[in-house]
Amino acid sequence: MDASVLYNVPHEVPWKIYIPFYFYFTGLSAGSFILSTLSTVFRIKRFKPMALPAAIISFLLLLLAPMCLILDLHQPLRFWHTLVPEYFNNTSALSYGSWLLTAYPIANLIYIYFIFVKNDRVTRALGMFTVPLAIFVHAYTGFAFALVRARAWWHSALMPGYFLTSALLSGIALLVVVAMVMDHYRKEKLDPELFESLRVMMIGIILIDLFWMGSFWLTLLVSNADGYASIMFALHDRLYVGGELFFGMLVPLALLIIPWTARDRVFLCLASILIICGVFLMRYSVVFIGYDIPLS
Amino acid sequence: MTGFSRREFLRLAGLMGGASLFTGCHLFEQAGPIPEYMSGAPASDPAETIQGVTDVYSVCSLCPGNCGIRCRVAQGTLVKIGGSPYNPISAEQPLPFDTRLEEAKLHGGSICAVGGSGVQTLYNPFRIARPLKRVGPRGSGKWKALSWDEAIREILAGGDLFGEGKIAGLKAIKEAKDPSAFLAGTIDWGSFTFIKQFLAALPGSSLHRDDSVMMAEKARQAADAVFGPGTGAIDADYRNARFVLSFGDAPLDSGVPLVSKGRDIATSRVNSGGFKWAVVDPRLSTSASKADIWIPVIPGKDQDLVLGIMRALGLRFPHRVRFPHPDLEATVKKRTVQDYADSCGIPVQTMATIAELLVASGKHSAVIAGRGILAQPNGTEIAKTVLSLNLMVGSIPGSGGLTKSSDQFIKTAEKKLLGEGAQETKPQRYGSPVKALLLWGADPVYDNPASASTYFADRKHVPLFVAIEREITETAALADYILPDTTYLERWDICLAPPSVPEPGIGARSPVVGGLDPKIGKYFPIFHETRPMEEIIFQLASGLALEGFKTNPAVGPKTAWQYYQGALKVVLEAMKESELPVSDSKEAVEETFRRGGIFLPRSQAMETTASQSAGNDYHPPQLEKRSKNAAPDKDSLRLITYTLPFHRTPPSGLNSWLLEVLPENRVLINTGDARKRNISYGNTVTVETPDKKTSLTCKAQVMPGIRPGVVALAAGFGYTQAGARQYSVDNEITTANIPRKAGVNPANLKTEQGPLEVKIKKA
Amino acid sequence: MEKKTDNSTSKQNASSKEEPAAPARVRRLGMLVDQRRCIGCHSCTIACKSENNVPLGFWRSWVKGLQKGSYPDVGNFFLRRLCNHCDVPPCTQVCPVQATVRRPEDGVVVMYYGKCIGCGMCIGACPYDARFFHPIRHTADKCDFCTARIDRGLQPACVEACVSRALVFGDLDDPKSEISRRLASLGTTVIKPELGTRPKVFYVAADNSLKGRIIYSEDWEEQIHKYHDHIPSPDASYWKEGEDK
Ligand SMILES: Nc1nc2c(c(=O)[nH]1)N[C@H]1C(S)=C(S)[C@@H](COP(=O)(O)OP(=O)(O)OC[C@H]3O[C@@H](n4cnc5c(=O)[nH]c(N)nc54)[C@H](O)[C@@H]3O)O[C@H]1N2
Ligand SMILES: Nc1nc2c(c(=O)[nH]1)N[C@H]1C(S)=C(S)[C@@H](COP(=O)(O)OP(=O)(O)OC[C@H]3O[C@@H](n4cnc5c(=O)[nH]c(N)nc54)[C@H](O)[C@@H]3O)O[C@H]1N2
Ligand code: SF4
Ligand code: SF4
Ligand code: SF4
Ligand code: SF4
Ligand code: SF4
Ligand SMILES: [Mo]
Repeated sequence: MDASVLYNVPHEVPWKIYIPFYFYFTGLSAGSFILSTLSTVFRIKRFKPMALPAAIISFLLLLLAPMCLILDLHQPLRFWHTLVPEYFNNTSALSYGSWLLTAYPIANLIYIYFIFVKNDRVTRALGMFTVPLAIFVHAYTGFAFALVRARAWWHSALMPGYFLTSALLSGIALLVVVAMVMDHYRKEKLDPELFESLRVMMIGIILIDLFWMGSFWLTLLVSNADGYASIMFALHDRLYVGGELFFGMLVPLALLIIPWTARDRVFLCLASILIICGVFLMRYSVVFIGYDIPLS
Repeated sequence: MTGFSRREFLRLAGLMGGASLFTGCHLFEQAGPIPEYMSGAPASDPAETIQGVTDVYSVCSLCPGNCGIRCRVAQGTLVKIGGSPYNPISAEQPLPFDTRLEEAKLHGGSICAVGGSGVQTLYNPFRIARPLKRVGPRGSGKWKALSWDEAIREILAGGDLFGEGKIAGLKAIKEAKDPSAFLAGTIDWGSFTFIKQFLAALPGSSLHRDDSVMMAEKARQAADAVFGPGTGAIDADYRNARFVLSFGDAPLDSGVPLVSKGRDIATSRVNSGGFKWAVVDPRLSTSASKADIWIPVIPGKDQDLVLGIMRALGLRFPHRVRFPHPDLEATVKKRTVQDYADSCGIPVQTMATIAELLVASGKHSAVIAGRGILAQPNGTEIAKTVLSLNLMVGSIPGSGGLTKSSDQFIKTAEKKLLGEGAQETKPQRYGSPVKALLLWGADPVYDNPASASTYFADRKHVPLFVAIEREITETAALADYILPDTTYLERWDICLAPPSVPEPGIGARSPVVGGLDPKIGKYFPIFHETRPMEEIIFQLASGLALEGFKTNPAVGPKTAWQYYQGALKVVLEAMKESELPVSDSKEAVEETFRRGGIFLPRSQAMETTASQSAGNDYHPPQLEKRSKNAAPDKDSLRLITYTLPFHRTPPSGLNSWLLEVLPENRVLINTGDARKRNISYGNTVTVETPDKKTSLTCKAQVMPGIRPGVVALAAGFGYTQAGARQYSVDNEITTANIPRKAGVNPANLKTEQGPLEVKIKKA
Repeated sequence: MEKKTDNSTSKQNASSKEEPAAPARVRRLGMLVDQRRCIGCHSCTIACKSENNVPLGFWRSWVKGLQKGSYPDVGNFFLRRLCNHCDVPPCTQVCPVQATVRRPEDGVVVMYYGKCIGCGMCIGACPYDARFFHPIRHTADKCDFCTARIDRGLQPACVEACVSRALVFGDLDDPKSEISRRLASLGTTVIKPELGTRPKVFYVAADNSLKGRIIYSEDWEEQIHKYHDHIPSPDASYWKEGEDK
């Protein structure tokens, strides 16, 4: 049988590059914040020097994230509509997200203040309150996709978890880079153990991410037509396979594991940078491979 | 003055390319009467509840269908064209004429894609805003804007107008009774009658027609020859026929009008009333795909198919069919069914099935021939043969399968307007040398690029060429003067219903935008410097002091409005005389214009003279001897053309809503043929004539629904003028628009002479 | 022109505008698209474009067409598309500001343009590609069953225009309405019923190859990667770049 399309119309992708950036910065911020709380809330002393820089980075990224979102809005001046209680939509992840994104930077700022004034007790209490906020902020971006049944590539229960762990991963990687820069300029050197634990954490999370990815692939491969089309499309997409998977996960994993690169700060730094980029590509492919599979 | 006009023209030309049609309208702001349209605003109020939103009823003119339209006008801007609920073409159950206008608002009618896009014909950014005179050689695209007075004075007086030597003006031509012509395309009855009156008064003048009219004329001749003189155009009665056999006719693609044929055919098909339909077409048109039987004949071999069906009829049902003429019978019997089948490419079995269906449906059959037949060389004779199939099974117009419009009263009205002495003459195709040519409503150069452009470009054939046009069409591009007239949405006319519509009545067109000063009867169009064609002719006529011009402003009407008020009154009188229940009062004339026409129920249709005399005055077709097989090149394919339901040949097909659906035409090619040439969907290919003199480059649409060995191109694309190119007006260069030149014009390969052998190669 | 308006009618209608349109009974409006009748002529498309002033390159209503088979057994198939006015609409589910909602009084899924922040979430969430960003209004937009018309007792523009009378519009909860009677006698389907969106646009004789993305190839790679090459209609940029200077 032969077939030939007589007419059809195009449907524009509503989002531009700002949207993956938005999801990425939100994640990065949440990831850095959780790292900051490792010493303040979870009392892991080793991470103490990172607490303040991580919190500040987290806060700065949080300013960037909504900026990206607003840049993508077609009615940027109406951003405040998301905070009008009457307009709140209790089925919309974005509705919750807007409130979270408002509450979280404020909590974050107060938290930073108390680290700065070195009030550990208040910092801890605040941190305990803000950690779930950070987790929600991050998971919400995953939910924003997971709750869209239209696109098989998004509509997965794994999404929030995957977004969360990869956020953490990018947060750690960013901090490794920041720590190295700090180390370079500061007189008192950081504890090498700090880098070691960050390295181990990264390995662990990459493995978890790979597990998510594998589960994702397997379910999609035997899923409905759209799911199958998405995964086949992804597996043929250079950015996804070469960028996100190979250079974003496998290469850094190797660099972090292979003994003679694992010990070398330069390679640690390289691995972290690759991870930072890889996680961005993950956000990018989640958004746009979703749109690459035509619906009608 | 000229500066203003140039700016205005440039502004019009420059505004294409906006995201919305209506963004363009902002640029008209200074034109005054067109206020700003809130681009992207929610739909303006359809129920006429906002102050300033009105419904105006008129008649579409974008194909010969003449559907009734209802135009929604918001603060003077036309925002939407819909179908009229009063009109039997547009509405399944038309409202009675006396239904109040407010009540009519709650009802609606259908409209086709082309008709709906007419808003863009009105607000076409490439409309000409002022009279233009060429400053370079013909076709150079260099123009100069003039005032009306200058333009008319020059056309009348002549002189060394272009620095190319002395040219006789209309006055001198009239004095010398030298030949002059008015070339009119497919135009409506009211304006046609007007032009006839003008020509009757102008010594030495004659009426020329273009190929579109000649096509309709061929159809009329064929029907007259088969069913008797005076039959005129016929069509299938899709509401009542039991079996329709369409030869090269695609009522669901290019139905005239699509609006009622689409509805009637759908109803007959879906109601299990036993309606059967077969379509003879080398290409799977929408019509063919909706029909019960698709007969993909070899293009140009329709004659053999008809004769084969006749042979099968004669053999299988010798007692139930009758050959209308012994000559035809003799011709048919010369060959066997198998022989016919071999040459037309359709199996014997199919011919037998068709024969059975024809006999089973008898006088409820309808066999019709469309452009696919008429455009073939010897098309009239093949059409006669096709129509003869009706007679063989006892079907005549009005017997159930075939319909015919019953507008006998229109002949009476014509006599009243033109005087008893006026002779009905056969339309004459353009092409003979004349001293001056006026052109209106025709674009022969698009239909016939090679030969028509030689004729119009040659100053020896036509020393003075004046186009009355709305934009610079392919033909107007070659004119000496272009006088900008108004569109169908800014003029009056009286329009006949097409033959497929049996309800007696007429459509009355009137302007939907612009303003009328009823005191002086003068109409002010939205572009101040455009005029209805009639008023241009009035101006020429008064300059020529035409004595016998009945509509001479000195004695009769002075404006288009006055002329049509009078003409409609005459038509209503004639209807009344034909015992149709209508009034011919002044109020009735107004009411008729207000409702876009007047139609009576089908039951009022009169018996046509043809149905009594049918078959008694039969003229057998003059068929050519068995067409020689010119041993076609193995590699060559036969090119045919077709019409898309959402496109129109010049220039309304350039409406962006239509181009949006399909921006360019692609050559349709069978999957197998494409594979052999390594062509796949969307590839760029060249279509070349065997002599390699002309070729076109376009994209390929590889599809299974076309006969192997055949390729097809849709008409209505590939413009070279009308905004597709740049012009220089008063030395300023205008903007061109790329979407307007997309696709190819198949007529460049001389497709008007029927199917054509071509070669297709991947580019 | 003097013939257009006589004052009495416009006054009468102006007053009728003020009276509340809310009907006493809750209705559930829906549409039936009879693909047996549909000829893919795009009359509905253009009627919708002009009624709602939809900019070039964007569609509230469109028609898909496919030819398939093997010569000479071939058919043309059409599918006339618009918003499904889902009873469980995924688009309203995701909107952060309730700018798009299912009207409780008649089940029509409408846009409140003044509220919309233009985030685009609903556009991605509609399984039917029924939504788009309106480039002039700068909000999401979609078919609203011509609310401006139906609230005044008129038929939607596409239903009125359709030359083949393939479209029937009416109240699904009124057993006497024409649409209910047709639904009771014809076999109908909806698009992507498995998503549980409960569409209120019903199709008679809709072809499977057209209901989702057009299936024109068995080869998934050809089908997905080349999909856009098989769309004849241009996107908005074609019109924006149309000028040749
Ligand atoms: N939308 C729209 N409708 C229109 C018009 C328009 O421009 N646009 N134009 C109007 C006008 S002026 C006219 S004259 C009519 C024309 O309307 P029709 O008479 O229907 O003519 P076409 O659509 O050009 O061709 C009809 C069919 O003939 C087929 N054909 C081509 N060559 C052959 C052949 O050799 N043998 C056979 N058997 N078939 C062949 C074509 O594939 C096509 O499907 O349409 C009118 N309707
Ligand atoms: N390849 C190919 N070519 C074809 C055909 C085909 O099927 N294939 N079909 C042929 C047939 S059957 C036909 S009928 C023709 C149709 O082609 P045309 O006869 O060329 O097209 P029309 O749309 O009738 O418009 C003719 C001219 O009338 C002008 N016009 C229309 N209304 C008005 C008006 O109110 N005022 C003024 N001043 N001008 C007006 C338009 O601007 C246009 O220039 O095409 C023919 N050419
Ligand atoms: S069929 Fe379409 S183009 Fe032809 S007259 Fe009717 S509405 Fe106009
Ligand atoms: S107007 Fe009617 S027949 Fe034409 S495409 Fe639309 S639904 Fe189909
Ligand atoms: S079709 Fe799409 S836009 Fe329409 S109601 Fe359903 S989800 Fe919403
Ligand atoms: S684009 Fe507008 S309607 Fe759509 S989800 Fe965002 S705010 Fe709601
Ligand atoms: S109901 Fe109105 S908005 Fe919806 S497709 Fe039809 S015409 Fe367009
Ligand atoms: Mo024609």
